[in-house]
Amino acid sequence: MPHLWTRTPLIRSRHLSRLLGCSVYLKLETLQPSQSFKYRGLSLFIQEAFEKHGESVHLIIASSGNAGLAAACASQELGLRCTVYIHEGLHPDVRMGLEDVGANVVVHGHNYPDAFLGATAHVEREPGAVMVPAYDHPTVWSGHGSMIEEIAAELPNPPKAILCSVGGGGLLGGVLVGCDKVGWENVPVVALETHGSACFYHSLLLSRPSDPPYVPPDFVTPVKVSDRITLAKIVPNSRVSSLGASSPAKEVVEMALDHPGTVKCVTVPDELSMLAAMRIAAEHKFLVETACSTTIVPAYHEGTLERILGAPLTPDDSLVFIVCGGTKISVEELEEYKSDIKQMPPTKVYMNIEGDSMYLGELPVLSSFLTMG
Amino acid sequence: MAPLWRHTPVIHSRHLSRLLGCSVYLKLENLQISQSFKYRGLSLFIQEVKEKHGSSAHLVIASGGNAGLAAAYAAQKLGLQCTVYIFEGLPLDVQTALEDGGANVQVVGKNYVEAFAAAVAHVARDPDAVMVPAYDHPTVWSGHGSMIEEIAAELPNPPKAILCSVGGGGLLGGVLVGCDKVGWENVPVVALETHGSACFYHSLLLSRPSDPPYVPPDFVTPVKVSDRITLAKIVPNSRVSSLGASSPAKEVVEMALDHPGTVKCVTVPDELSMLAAMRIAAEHKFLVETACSTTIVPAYHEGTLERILGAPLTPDDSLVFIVCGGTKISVEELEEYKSDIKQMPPTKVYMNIEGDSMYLGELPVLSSFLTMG
Repeated sequence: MPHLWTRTPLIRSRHLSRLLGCSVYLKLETLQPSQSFKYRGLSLFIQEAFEKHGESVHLIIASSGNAGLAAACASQELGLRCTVYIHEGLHPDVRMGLEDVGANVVVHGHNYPDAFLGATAHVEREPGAVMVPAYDHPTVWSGHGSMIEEIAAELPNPPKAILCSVGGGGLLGGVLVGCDKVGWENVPVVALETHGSACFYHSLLLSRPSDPPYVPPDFVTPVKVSDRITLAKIVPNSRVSSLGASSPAKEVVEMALDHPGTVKCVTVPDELSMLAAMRIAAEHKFLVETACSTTIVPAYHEGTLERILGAPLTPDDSLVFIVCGGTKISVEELEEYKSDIKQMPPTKVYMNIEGDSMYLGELPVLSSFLTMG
Repeated sequence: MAPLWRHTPVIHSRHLSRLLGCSVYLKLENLQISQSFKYRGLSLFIQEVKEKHGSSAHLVIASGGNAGLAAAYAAQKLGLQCTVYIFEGLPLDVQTALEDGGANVQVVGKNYVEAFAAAVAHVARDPDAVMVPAYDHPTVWSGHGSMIEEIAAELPNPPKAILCSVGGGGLLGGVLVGCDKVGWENVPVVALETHGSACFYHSLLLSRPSDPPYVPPDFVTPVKVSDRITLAKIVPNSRVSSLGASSPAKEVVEMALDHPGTVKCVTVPDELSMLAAMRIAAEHKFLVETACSTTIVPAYHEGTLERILGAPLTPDDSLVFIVCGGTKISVEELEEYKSDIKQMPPTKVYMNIEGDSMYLGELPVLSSFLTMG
């Protein structure tokens, strides 16, 4: 059965290539049918559920975000029933957006864990119901990995690095699985989060053998899940809510440890993701949510990529940024970001790179970009 | 010589397909190199200049907009000199963007006409200099027409119609040339302008044999340029400045008259283009200038497409909207549009379709969309 996802463009960004002095490519997952990369892995999972269980299968997911939309769109495309569990208190647009693509929406509980419990209970009581995993499943990573196959078919040489955001690790899992598939095991991967959504960052540092052992900040609860892997359990505390998982998928942490090209973990403050979203809108004319713009943050701060990759960029190098997409952005939100940042008291900002802290400057002054009209 | 332009995606828009009850495709020329369709035809012209004149050719163009940018980038790619004449008083980033693209920028005169005169004078005195036509040249239409070849290779059947904006007629010329090339002569084409930039609309109606003859509004000066063709000369009076040509290319008017599938001419008020740009940002997450969003206006107003095409849309139909792109848009401008429209006194708005006027409702009430957050 042919896959449902769209082959997306890999465009060479004039703005970023000029800024970084090398060839910068953007993989535009915003153009998937549900407007984010999630459509790849979730549609593959749903397609397999259809092949296994037939057209009476009922797909269930707990998600008020892009995973729910992806599952609903894929189910609609295949003519399958889909029920999305969301929690109370969300904007009516969330429900409408899901119903517009044919999902049955159930509002359950006060927060995401409650909604997830509702979804789980549903799957337990209905024989034909199947839970769609938002990020923690090999089929999902395999589907997401197709984006690397597409990129490899278009780039003459492996890139110097691939950069992507990390929430629960689904996208990173896909990037790593995809790299393996195309013979790019030696390509470094940079995994970006915000300081307040840094469950992968701390999990990777906790799991890497190190002497002395890594001591995470107080807000991290280390949870040893196997001989090799200790996960960081956190309460997400970031405005970049789409990245807000409490813990990453453990197999993805393991794949990251084992990736020969290495995975570099990086976190940035929310405000830099917000600024990056503003700059992407101004230059590239795309509206992307902050979970997505987080990926591009290093491009806008001189010296950070060299520090992350441990080497300067040269004109022969190429970089691939996964523009993961997502619908949680609007013109109004971008204007809010602008005014929020303008009103900040002078605040020193840092990028955390592999356990070290790199000072970037002070907000709001740091962004001369804000003074541009 | 291989073309310089990029193959752009044709995406199925779930938002517009649901709204219109048929398959709506968007040809994403906002993803073209230089961020508009103009790169196709202008890069082809410049490539031919290089083949004919060699590397000493010096490209000259008068344009503060997307044509200048397209010419600059193509010249830079081919290692040729390019001078862009712009008039005084444009925002600084216009000059910066052109210089970033390798162009030498000359700021001359108080308006486009004066800048154009300076460009003409340059070409007259410099034997290596060649004027790049912004829209009125067969090579330009041939280059733009490549987008139709790409679309035809991807759509299983010819669409019920292709819709595009018209400024001077370069894009329309490309659409018509392209349709001829792929055997789509019978596909209707809908050519959209704003009321204040309607030089093509009035030219087509003036040139079509009709009894009684078409009487244009007072602000139109009819200019008979051949047996068949009378052009409308206007002073553009629209906020949608990128469409502001004083007269369309006469061969394009002739091709439109001769297109077997027919060309339907339509004009809309500026405010509906502004609203469409806001809605495209909210739903599709693209920032497009109003010259571009003008194309999508009918999709957002029930009954207009049926009226334009003379038949209802059915689920088996497909429509192609050319998303022509352009860089003259920002988040700040979209917010201005919103506040300007909110502050309008109650105003009846009409769409002009082939000489008739269709009442659409009253602004600002018409757009319930504005009340969405």
